[in-house]
Amino acid sequence: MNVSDQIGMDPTLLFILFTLLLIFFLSFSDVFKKKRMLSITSPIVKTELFCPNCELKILREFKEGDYVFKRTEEKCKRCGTPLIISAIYDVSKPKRPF
Amino acid sequence: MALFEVRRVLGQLNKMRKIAWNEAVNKLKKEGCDEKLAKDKLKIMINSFVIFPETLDPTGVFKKIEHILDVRDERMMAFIKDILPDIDHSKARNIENLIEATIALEQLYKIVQHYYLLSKRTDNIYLLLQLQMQLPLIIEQAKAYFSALNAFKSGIPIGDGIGALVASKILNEAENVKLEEVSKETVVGGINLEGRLVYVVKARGPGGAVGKPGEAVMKIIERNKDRKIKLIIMIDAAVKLEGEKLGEVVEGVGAAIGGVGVDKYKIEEIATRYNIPIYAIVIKESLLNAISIMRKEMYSSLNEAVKKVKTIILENSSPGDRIIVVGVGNTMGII
Repeated sequence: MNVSDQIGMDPTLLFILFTLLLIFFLSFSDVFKKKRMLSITSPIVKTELFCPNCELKILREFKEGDYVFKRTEEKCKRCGTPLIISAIYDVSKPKRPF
Repeated sequence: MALFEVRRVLGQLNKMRKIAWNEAVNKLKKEGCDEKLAKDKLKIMINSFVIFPETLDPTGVFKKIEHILDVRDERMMAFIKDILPDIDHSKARNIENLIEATIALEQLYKIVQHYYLLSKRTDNIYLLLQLQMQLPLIIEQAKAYFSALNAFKSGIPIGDGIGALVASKILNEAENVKLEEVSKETVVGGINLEGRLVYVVKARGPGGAVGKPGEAVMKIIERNKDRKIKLIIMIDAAVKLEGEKLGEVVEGVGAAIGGVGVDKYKIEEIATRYNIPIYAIVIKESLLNAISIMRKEMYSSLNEAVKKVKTIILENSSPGDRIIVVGVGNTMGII
């Protein structure tokens, strides 16, 4: 005994119903996929400083006024030399766009 | 379904442009501008437009384009200096970049809204379907400009600045380099590399400027007429194709520089006139990476690019030769 006999429905009607359900499912999954596409991750910005004397590297949160190769007033913990900003970058995990 | 999808994206674009507008107003307020004045001026700036010159007669069109873009740039800076008279140049440039991103989001919203309403008014499903097909690319572009807001409001280096960063690293590795402003917002420093005199050109940082590298290269070549420039090396970020690795460093030939083409034309013109070879080093990144905060992966490419520049110089020149290295890109957050 097949499915259409079990539920007492015409097989053609059942086929149309399944096709419609499939179309709805695919359309809505596409809509949700596009919704994910619109989401934006907030950046996590870090500033990397290095000591030109002992080459110690420090990573800290970005502060307004930081720029790459700036000689800061922050001192090296090891030798007391003023630190230089070597990099400013985003470390947040990028989402797959599509 | 298409109508529903376009409407939702339009709603999202509307949210993005409103956030961008608020960020710009807040930044102006933070720098000391009155809120009402900031809103009024911003409204004028956001609705401003540029009419590109007529190209039916293409003779001298680059000069016309350059002139119009210069006028626009001066007008933009005048607007900012008008409402914030005491602001320093670097901060003014960062605000200008922030406003540019706001304008881009406003334009995207207006265009999508235009086609959405047009298709509704004319009951034309095909217009709507065309728009729906382009939605992924529109969203990607909008996201890129939206992410750029964070970088522009705080003056953080963006992906496009990798060329300027390479130039800056070369300059910083050498000792006691004196920088000279050779053209508008563009500096040059001379360094010695195993007996060669290398002129390193980049935009003046740390404000968000791209400078005028074309004019700078022209001036340096004209100044060195007596001792011909041996080669020009250009470093820039290039749009990567899907599947390519972010931060991949690739070598080639030709003028590696984007924009409307004025600087590219100038460099190609002078290099051809004096028969100087142009080498290019590009660092691959997507549009999103190019105008959002520089990612950590890009710094891994930095040392590789610097090494490649030095290798090209040493392999293609002899001691006593003069070389020009141009770091192309927005120097925001990079000295």
